[in-house]
Amino acid sequence: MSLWERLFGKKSEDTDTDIGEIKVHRNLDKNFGIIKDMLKDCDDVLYREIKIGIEGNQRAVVISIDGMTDENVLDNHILKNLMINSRIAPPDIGIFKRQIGDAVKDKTLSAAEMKEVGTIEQAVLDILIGDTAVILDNYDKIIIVGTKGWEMRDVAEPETENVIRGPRQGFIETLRVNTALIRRRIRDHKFKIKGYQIGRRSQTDVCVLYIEDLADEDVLEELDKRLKAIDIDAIIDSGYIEQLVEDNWRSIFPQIQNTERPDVATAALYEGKVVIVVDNSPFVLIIPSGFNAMMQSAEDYYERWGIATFIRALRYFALLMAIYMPALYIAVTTFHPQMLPAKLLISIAANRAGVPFPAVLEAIIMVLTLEILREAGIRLPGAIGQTIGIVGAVIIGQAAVDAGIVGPIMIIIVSITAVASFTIPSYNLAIAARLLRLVLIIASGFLGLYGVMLITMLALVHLCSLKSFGVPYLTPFTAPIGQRSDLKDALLKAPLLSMHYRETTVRKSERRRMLDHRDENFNKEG
Amino acid sequence: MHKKMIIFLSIALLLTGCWDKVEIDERAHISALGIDRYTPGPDDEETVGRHIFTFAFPELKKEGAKDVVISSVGDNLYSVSRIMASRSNKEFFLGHLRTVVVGVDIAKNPADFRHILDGIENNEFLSRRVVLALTEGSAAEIIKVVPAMENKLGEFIAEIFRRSDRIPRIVGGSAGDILRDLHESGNTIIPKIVPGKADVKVAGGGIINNFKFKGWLGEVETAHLLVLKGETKCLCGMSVKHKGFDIPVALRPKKPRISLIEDKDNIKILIEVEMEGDVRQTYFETDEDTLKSSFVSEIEQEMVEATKQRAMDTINKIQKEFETDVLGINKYLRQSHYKLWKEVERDWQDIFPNIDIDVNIDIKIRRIGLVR
Repeated sequence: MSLWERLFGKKSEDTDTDIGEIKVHRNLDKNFGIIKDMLKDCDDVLYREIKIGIEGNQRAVVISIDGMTDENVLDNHILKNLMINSRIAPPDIGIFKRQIGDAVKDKTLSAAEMKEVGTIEQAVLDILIGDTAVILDNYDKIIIVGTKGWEMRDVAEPETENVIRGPRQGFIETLRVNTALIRRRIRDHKFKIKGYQIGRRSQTDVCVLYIEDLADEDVLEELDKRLKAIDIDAIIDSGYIEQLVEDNWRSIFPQIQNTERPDVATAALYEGKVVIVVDNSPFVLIIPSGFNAMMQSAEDYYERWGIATFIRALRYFALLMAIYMPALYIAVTTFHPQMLPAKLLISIAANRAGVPFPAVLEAIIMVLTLEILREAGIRLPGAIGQTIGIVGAVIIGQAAVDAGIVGPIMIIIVSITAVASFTIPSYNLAIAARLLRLVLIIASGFLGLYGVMLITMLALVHLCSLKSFGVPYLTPFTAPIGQRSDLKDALLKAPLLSMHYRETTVRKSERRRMLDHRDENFNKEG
Repeated sequence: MHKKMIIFLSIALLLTGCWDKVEIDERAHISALGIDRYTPGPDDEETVGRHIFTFAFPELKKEGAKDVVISSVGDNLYSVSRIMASRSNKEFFLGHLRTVVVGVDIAKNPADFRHILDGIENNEFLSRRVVLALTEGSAAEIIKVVPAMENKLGEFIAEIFRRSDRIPRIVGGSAGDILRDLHESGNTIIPKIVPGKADVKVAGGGIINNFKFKGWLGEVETAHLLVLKGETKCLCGMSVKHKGFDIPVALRPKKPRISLIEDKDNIKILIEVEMEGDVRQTYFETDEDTLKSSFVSEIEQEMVEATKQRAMDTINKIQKEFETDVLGINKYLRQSHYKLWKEVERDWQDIFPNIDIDVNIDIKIRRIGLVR
């Protein structure tokens, strides 16, 4: 086994615990005892032993978790109905004795969401999700009433992916609210929400959202396979799912787009993509997604095409600047000074005179300083974070130049690079650009432009071979002939009126998005 | 797979690549170079070189930077720039060399001159746009000049040449063009440079015939040569005597038309030049009515005569005195009359001085200046 395999290869292990199956007993006390035992030392569990029926001779237990249940449903639709209303209207005693379950379920409890489970484990799991279990004596099922309800954050404007024009809603940490936010935008019965529960201990809800006749079946199948293959104790955030289902975990490039915006997720669904919503995470995942998707901002589609095209081209330019500027500066000044115009050369050389470090070290110092400032800015509380940014950028930069540790031009280069990297709409792509920038700086420090080209080629080879759920990462740039219509929405943004087709990743038969019913002379005159 | 990739990468990183990393402020960016002939004194060893190389490079100061000038004796550009490294704390870098001034003594000896030219052509750092100029005296004198307007000499000379299409008396001077001419025929004209106190003057040119210096062409003659070759956009500074007054006329020549006139005895060439002109001034309280067509046509006539005379003088000098075809007649014949050219090609050096060259000049005055 090679070192590589040993470090990163597939490891086979035994799963630690397997949840067994305990059937629900007809005896209330026995069931109650088992559940109590399982939920021992869980002090947030509420047990309510009650008696129902006219004579109060039918025992029952209501179990729920404090803080995760909607108390209105619990009080008014479960307890009140069982304890008071069931005595007001007495049913037929015979039927009541024989079919107590049906009587309680169908005639007494007035909650919307209800089901029966046959095993204790399932019942406990549902209790832990926030539902309420009703255990009846002499009945071999446990009734689960949907009472999920807890304190949650309001739907607010997302912190990332800000736009000037566009909806102000962002996803929150509650899965159902998130799926509802998307459902509100797709009133189509073909829109499907498929649920999974992933994580041996966390049992996190994960939903796969797609529009049935648009999404590629192969992608859905592959996703289903990969989600089912996940065997982990807990899923804390959608980032876990992202890393566990992505195609190439070695790559520095993100292969799955994430978004906090329902409008972006919805647009992706209409493009035939698949959206994964994970409970407890305001970031939903979009697959398959390529480089192109991560360079787009929601606003591109809401503003008119002229400015959208300009901004998009600008963004690509800024990406190149963010990746290449420091490396090119080092390469040109230390290896190829003949590429500079004479006057610029003299000015750069005169400014650098007296700096004790080689340009590559100078660049690494400044880039690392910037990264440290950025990290500090994130960690510090809001107001201080901004202060640190200004203090860091202005004061440290100026002091470094005055002290002669770095040249002023390097400060300019690094600052422009930093500003340019903020124009990349997708944060995870921006991180990749930052890593690539560091690699390029080192390569150019060793080998000049040759090193820059070398790394560029390696990166391009890698990008070309990268796939996201079977879709080439660089679509549509790699196959511009077959995907010509996709180019309308890549480097440029064509007018909405000319974008008749969906992306080529959707099913062939469903490519057409828009028909043109305008009058033939529309817009011809004047 | 990964093993292979790692091996490939290490090869690419470790075995190839340019390890010539030098920080920008650790290089001496040579901006001007002067090459003079060196006559060894009696005490010199025999191995001492034949030329003096004088380098100028800017000081790296933010303000008031001047050129540093150092010189050394050696045989060729490459070895001297290597030797200089032992005398300097900086790496000599020729990528920004703008001006090479060659002392005319070198050009008088074809062997030496060719040695120097190949040193320039073969150096991969030297741009084809380097200015190559000849000087009558010592090239080192010129390199040592600190121009008052721009205290970096290399830059100063390069800037003069960059504006050369607006200055009528400067021949192109780019090393690329000169070397191409020399490859083709061994003949060319190289701009002449003259040192002043706080400036240098570029005017006129040195005629090179078969890699050997033949003589200097004067400023006015150079200007007219450029018109005949179609290498300038203006012929300014010319004036015409009109009724006892000098009237300056700015001329803008078009590209000349060269044609071969049928003649049994001799090769006969006609060069036709059309020019537009502006009358820049007359004289105060003039009696002339400059609006009259008679005045305009008089000026045109006089201007044609004067220009033609000077053009013919230039041609005469080139043909009879220098016997060197810098007019480009050889190129014209090769391009347009290949059969004839094949006949005369071998003896062109001898034939050129004897061919008939006629000049036809047509001047139209377009603007007459302000009129009271």
